[in-house]
Amino acid sequence: MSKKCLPKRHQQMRLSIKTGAGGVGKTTLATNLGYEMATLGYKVAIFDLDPQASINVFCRLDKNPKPIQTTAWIYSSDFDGNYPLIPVWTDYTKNLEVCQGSDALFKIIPLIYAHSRGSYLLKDHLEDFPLDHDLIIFDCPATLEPIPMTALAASTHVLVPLEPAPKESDGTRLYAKWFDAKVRELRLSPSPEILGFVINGLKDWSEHVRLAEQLPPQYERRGFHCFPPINEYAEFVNACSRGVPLRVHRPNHPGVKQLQPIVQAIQNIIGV
Amino acid sequence: MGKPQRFAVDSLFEDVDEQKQVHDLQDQIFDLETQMQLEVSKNQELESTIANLRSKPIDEQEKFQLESTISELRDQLQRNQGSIQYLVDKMHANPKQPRQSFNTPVQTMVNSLQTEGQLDPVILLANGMIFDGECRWRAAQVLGWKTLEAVFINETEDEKNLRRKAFITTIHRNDLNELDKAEVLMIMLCDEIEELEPERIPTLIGSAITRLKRKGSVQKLGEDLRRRPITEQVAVLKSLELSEIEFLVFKFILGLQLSPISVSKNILPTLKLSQDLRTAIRDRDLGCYQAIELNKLSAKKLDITEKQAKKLRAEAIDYVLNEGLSVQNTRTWVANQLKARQPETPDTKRDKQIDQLIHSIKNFSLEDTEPTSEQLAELQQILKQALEAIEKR
Repeated sequence: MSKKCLPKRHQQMRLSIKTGAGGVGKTTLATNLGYEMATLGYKVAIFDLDPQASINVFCRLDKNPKPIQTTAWIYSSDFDGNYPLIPVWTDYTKNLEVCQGSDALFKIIPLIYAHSRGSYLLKDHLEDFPLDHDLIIFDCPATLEPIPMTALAASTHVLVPLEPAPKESDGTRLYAKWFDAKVRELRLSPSPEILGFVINGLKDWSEHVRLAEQLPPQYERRGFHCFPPINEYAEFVNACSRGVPLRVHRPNHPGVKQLQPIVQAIQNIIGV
Repeated sequence: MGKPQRFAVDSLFEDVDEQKQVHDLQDQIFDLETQMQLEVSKNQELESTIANLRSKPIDEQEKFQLESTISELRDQLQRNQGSIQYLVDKMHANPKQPRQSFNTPVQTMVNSLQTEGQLDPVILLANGMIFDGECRWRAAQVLGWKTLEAVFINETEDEKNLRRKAFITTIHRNDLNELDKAEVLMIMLCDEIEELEPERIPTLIGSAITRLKRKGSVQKLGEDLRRRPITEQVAVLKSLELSEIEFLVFKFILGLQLSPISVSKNILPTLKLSQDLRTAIRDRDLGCYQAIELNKLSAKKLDITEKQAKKLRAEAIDYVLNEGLSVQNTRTWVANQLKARQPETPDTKRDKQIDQLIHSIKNFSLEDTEPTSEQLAELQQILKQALEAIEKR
């Protein structure tokens, strides 16, 4: 199923969800935030830029799409503006679409390196063939090069999730350095904004609690916003297992409430 | 061996900070380089303009004008971002400057420049107009200084903002007199509130305050309110049931950290002063309150021509200044003058209560009493109020 490009309506937000470590809940955030925004009436597209394509699990999508049905196709020099967007969770919303990831993305990595505007491929195609969505979420892989670089160049904002543990905290340090260096290298003007850091998967372990307390001031001291933490909840996993967003699985679950500060921040930028 | 240290958060982002510092420095260098290039290209442009102008045959007068314009332009281009020594001759006064009385402040500044040197640079607009430092400039002229240390600001401000800034920087200096304050306050109020006419302002403020006095709520506007946060000021004003325009005027006055009551009592009356009294305030340091007293010697009141009244006031100004009369003494003296000059007009229907009061005041003398300073202040206040009430009629 493809989507013909439409002229841009108003303030479109393009949000990269990205960090320097794996397994911190990027796809959980991407799908649940996407669904939250869709239920508020915003038109949302999620681009899965991860070769592992975990959105397929979250949304119960075909696990072996043809390359032309995935985000890899958008990077092709033959791309004609037909975004392979699939409406998802259609029983609950009409506003949410996904562009699937797949291992075809491995094949576009050398293309990015070889192309004279490699890092800008995604940005260029989104500008040449604009989508009328209010929000486009780029669900990025945990590696830093080179797909996330194309996402950074195409983004207006970045959300950095982390688990409050040593490796994942250090991942945000790597990310902050990488972000600063790439914005300069790619001469992004205006530079994408860091929407904020968010501690995700907080457990009641003492080390988790300590880091969840000590890290936010470190981000804020450097001028970065830090959202209130989101706890580790079994229901996030259960919802994923049933192939639905948390709000559908458990509408009154505290996890849904913990997503709201980010939802609010996104809403403030897109406008009502 | 102790336990190994836990994962340290404090030092985690040190290299992020270092990298950012390096990048910031690179940015600064880039900016400085751009700026330098800009200066160079500006200079080149100027040079070619000069060459161009010189190549054209023009008459002497024009040539002179052009050359001086060009050299001025060059001077401007050559000045750097910091403070420079700027020619006193090239500076000129801001016609919108709130301070119009310079006699004493300039003398004070002359002394200060002689003993301390120039402490702060004057602030100039790009065209050499003085934004701040007219006293220093005038004093430098008195001393025959050739240059003053100066800094420049961008001339992007509109007139209204310029006046507002100049006013706010000056108003809380003690040596700005009531007349200067009143005049600039009028201009600012009219700038701020479009439907306001300057001649209406004193009456508008005066009658609002009289009404509040009658209602007994005037103390809410007391001395302290001007120092309170704006939200509190607005809340108080809202509780006073003012008209929309009164509300705006009072809010603006409070916003300048002035008290509406003291504005009405001390500042606005100076607007009624005759031109000769204004000149005396500005050139001869006549006190504003003395001037308000002397203003009572008017042609209308004395039933004489304006020319005669002016002559009378000229003598009075000399007398007050030479004798160094206090406000109180000036008031008494003016009252005597008025009495002496007023033709006795027998009134058929005289109010008895007033006659009694006149009688007791006439016979009143401080020399026979031993009042406390508190009593005196109270008496002065009551008489002042009575006087105001009389003047209103």
